[in-house]
Amino acid sequence: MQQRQQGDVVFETVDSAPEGAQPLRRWQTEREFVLAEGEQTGHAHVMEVDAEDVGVEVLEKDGVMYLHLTRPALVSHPEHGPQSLGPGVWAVRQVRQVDHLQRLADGRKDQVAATVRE
Amino acid sequence: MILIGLAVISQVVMAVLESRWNRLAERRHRDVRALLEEWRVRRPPPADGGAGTAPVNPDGSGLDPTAILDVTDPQRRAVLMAEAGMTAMYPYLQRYIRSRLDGADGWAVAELVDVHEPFAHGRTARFIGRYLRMVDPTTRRIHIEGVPNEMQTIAEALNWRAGDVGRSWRPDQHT
Repeated sequence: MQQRQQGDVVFETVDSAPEGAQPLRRWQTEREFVLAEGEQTGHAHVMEVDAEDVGVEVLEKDGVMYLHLTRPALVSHPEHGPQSLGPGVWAVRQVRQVDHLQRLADGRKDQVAATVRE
Repeated sequence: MILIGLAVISQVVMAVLESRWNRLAERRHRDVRALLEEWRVRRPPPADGGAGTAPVNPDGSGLDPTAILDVTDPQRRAVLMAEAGMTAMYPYLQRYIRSRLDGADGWAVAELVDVHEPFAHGRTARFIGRYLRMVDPTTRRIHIEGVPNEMQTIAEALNWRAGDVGRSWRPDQHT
């Protein structure tokens, strides 16, 4: 099992995508696929692919993205070094965090996990 | 007939409660918006005596953290702190480092920190929450992220952050 991290996005190899995972299409251009948008900076985590011989299938289930790569792919981000993902199935998640300040502002006592804002 | 009557009464009560709740939510939303507008107008000039167009902190809202902490009403202070964001507020808050690790799971440095409001104006130091402060090994940028208060170790918090995958989160590459 391999684990990788690029900023607030984590990658982990899995045996296969779970049953019921649905194909996802979020192409930015013919050669790039946006894995995650940066909410604060506007910078995205982008996977570069070859449009003619894509070699990648992108699935999604329960908020987790699954990349089925038949060839290596490169993930880039303006503020982080590139990550090279080898062939296989990768689970891709954005990290999570608790927004304690918003909880105080809302007058809530419980802790509510929220998707991280980059 | 009695059941129908009870059903009607419960419907009316629910409608009244919902209406009242919505009115309170709207009023609170208006209050928060007005408070933030007021504070944006009051944004202090930059220390270098410039034209006043540069935000006080580039990562946040431009609100002055020290002025926010001088606000005596805790609810207003909380709204303003949330707007400014933890990255801007962090240097001005009280921090108790529970543990610190160099090279923790891909980070140059990681700290598990309890963050409180500072003692000021005779008030107690209100606990805000538990945070991970992490230094990116490639960019040296500092990331401060809230974690559940029950997290006891950096490893536990990093694993939770990564989605509780059921095993230790130890990335072999981190950028």
